[in-house]
Amino acid sequence: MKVGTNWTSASSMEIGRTLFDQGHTHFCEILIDNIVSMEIESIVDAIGEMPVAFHIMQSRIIERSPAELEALAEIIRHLDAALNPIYISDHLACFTHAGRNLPLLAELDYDSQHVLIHERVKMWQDLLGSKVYFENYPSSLPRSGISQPAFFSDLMHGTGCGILFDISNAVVANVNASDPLADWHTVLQASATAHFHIAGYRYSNTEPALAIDSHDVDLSQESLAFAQEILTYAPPDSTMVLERDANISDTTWTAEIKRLTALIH
Amino acid sequence: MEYYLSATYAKQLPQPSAQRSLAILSLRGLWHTIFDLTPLLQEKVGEDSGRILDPFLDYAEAQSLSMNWALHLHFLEWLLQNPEEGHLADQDVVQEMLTAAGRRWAKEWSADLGGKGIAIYCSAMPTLAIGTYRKHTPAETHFRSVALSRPGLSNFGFATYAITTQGQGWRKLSWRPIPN
Repeated sequence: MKVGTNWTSASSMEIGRTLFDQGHTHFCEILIDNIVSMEIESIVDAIGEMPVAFHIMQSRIIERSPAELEALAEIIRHLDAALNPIYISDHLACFTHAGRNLPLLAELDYDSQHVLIHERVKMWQDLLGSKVYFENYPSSLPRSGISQPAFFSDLMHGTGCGILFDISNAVVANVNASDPLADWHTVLQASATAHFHIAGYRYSNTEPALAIDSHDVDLSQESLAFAQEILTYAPPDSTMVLERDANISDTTWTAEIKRLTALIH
Repeated sequence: MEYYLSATYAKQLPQPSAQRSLAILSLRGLWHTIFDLTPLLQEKVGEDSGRILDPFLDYAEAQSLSMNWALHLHFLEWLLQNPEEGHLADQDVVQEMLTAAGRRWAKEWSADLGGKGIAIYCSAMPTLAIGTYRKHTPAETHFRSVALSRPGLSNFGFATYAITTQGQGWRKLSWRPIPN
């Protein structure tokens, strides 16, 4: 399994670069949103020989017009050609309500938006000319209707997309929405899922407390235990990104990478 | 989902409930969106920020403001029209708010796709416009803002903006109304 870090800022890029140079990681996952305005040559220079993967946050494929998506896709296609990523990943979520940007993302309604989600996923893959791996959602509230594992299974069959399985997102959804972790195993094994995320989450100081996918603390024992179960059947050429967006330092990230690597080997 | 964006709606949710907790977290997120980029205003407002933020969010709801990069400009306009709180928006705060709007634009990659920088001009600070660049290389750690000489505009409402598609240039700008 290849282990990577995520690049969301200049400082995380520097630490990620160091971890790669020291042999602790094998690649870097780039948050595409942060680099679309940059000169491609400067990105290529910064990356050097380090393999990369793409992660997109704000494509908002469910909400944007096809013309807007085409314009975004054109930029990403250029980056794809220049950087040859291991995979392209994206998010399925609700970013706006009644045309107004939400401060926190909300979960899509997998039942009522089923047709639209399938159409847009197909369209986005066609526009990018690539299979796209969509990240599972860290549910905040209990839901009724189709479960998230069943939704992703159906989506992959219907559109040919993949899942970027975020292990800690599943744990967060288990805490907040009581979504059973065991329900994911069948889906992940049947689809031979090979791209993973894992990150720290924290609990809010609200009543009741919610698990928040914060990427600013160390991995939980629950995430590590669930990762260990998944690693028993993950394909050998799988990837795993340890995401960290805040409270980043050389020492904390290196220590977490070593914890994760010990689990894998 | 109005409760994500309005304290008035959030307070109508049952307490305690997971939905209420989520609304509180969402409103905290909005607080950070506004005040993390405006430390001068934050200091002037003090700890009781709800006295201006909550009514502004009700106004934003009524106006269906998109809450995109122009949010600080709408907040500034609303603040200046507020008889009790308008004094908070001195020239330093006005400049801070224009810079904050520029930095949010620079971060919103899909706003004015292809734009390299944004100039924002506001009637509350008639002597200057504020230009902000998007990052051009991975080595840049911050968005860079510059003061631009008075563009000499008229009849543009409270604020206006223009996009440059060149790395450094601010010439021959086409000024537009700020988005809702």
